[in-house]
Amino acid sequence: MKPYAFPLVAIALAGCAVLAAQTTAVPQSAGGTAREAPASPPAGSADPATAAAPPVTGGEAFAAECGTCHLPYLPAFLPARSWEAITSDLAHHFGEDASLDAATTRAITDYLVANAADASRRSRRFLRGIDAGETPLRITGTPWWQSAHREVSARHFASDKVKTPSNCAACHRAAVSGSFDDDD
Amino acid sequence: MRATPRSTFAAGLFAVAAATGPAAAGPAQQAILDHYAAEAKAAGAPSAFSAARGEAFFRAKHGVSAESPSCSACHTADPRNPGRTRAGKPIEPMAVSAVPTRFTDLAEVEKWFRRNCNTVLGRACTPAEKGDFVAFMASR
Ligand code: HEC
Ligand code: HEC
Ligand code: HEC
Repeated sequence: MKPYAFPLVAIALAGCAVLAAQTTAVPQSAGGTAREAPASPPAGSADPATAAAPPVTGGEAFAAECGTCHLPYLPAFLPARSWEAITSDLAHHFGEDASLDAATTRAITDYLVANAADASRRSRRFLRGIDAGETPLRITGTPWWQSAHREVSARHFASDKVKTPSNCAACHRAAVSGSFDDDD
Repeated sequence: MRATPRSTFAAGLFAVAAATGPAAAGPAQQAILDHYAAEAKAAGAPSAFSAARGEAFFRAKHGVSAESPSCSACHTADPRNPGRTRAGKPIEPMAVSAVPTRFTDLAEVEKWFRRNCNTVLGRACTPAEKGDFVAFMASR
């Protein structure tokens, strides 16, 4: 039996359980009323480089800076090494320059790594089917994502409303992003 | 005494405004334009900006990126309309008449010029290109 051919319902539940568990630990998006964000960067706070940065948490910086071109993706959807690879080359980000100053990049990386798929037992299922030596750069390229969307036709993803599989919000509202509104 | 960048720019904008309709630049956009005028002047480039040049630059296909050939690829042909990112997220209109808070925070403006010029042109924009671009958006 193929490792990720388990029922879609299980994936859906798994995804949603993680999403629900993450809601309280995730900051508001930029400009929203700040909620206490317990998941601030653990490693960065003692570091002089981040001490000099503007007084925003890594989670706030992530929601603001990684949420302008697409919704901020849920950190639990990729392993820590993927987030490190993505944030280490933001000047060449899927064909665009998404570069940030060093202190902000560092704070965001710390936040993503602390909340990545391999940071919690609950989200480890998103790692299924990814080789230890492999560093996926796309959520949409991971086996669990492709398995969850097997029934969604390619036509849907290419439609003008959706444009690309990366546009999670076109089909899911805020529930698959790292940024939640109070009334969601 | 020579004209300050501010008065040089104001003269430029008035010329632009006369040609393209009422300018919507408020004090905050004015400060950004002054900043680029001073940079252009320091680089020995013309510091009187032109909305017409800004418009041509905005629409031009620069032939560097297949996905993002021009500024208008994301910001749409008419900057008074909302644009859209490659990942499908809406972008507020760039025209100052539609969104008066456009071009009011220099750090934010510089961050996006750095990124988008690199994506679309494969290089940084010059102060004159930035000034023309802002002048165009302030004239819309
Ligand atoms: C074209 C629409 C579409 C797009 C775009 C899309 N999805 Fe889905 N997604 C679906 C459908 C349909 C399902 C099937 C499960 C269901 O019935 O809810 C699904 C299931 C899921 C599930 C399973 C758990 C749940 O909430 O039901 C997750 C998690 C998920 N998607 C995340 C994402 C992420 C992350 C992205 C962006 C990278 C994305 N999706 C993009 C349509 C879409
Ligand atoms: C300047 C615009 C821009 C910014 C800012 C930006 N991204 Fe992206 N991102 C993109 C584009 C474009 C894609 C590719 C979308 C596509 O292929 O349809 C993408 C894709 C991604 C993907 C893969 C999505 C998938 O298909 O599974 C991840 C993960 C990602 N970005 C993370 C980040 C993070 C983390 C940040 C903040 C540090 C960030 N992005 C900031 C433009 C941006
Ligand atoms: C790939 C899509 C894309 C392309 C192409 C693009 N932009 Fe943008 N631009 C954005 C996004 C996304 C934002 C930030 C969202 C916002 O400000 O609403 C933005 C914001 C800006 C800002 C900040 C405005 C402000 O009020 O602070 C400037 C300046 C800018 N763009 C200039 C340009 C120029 C010049 C070009 C062409 C060389 C260009 N853009 C091409 C997506 C794009």
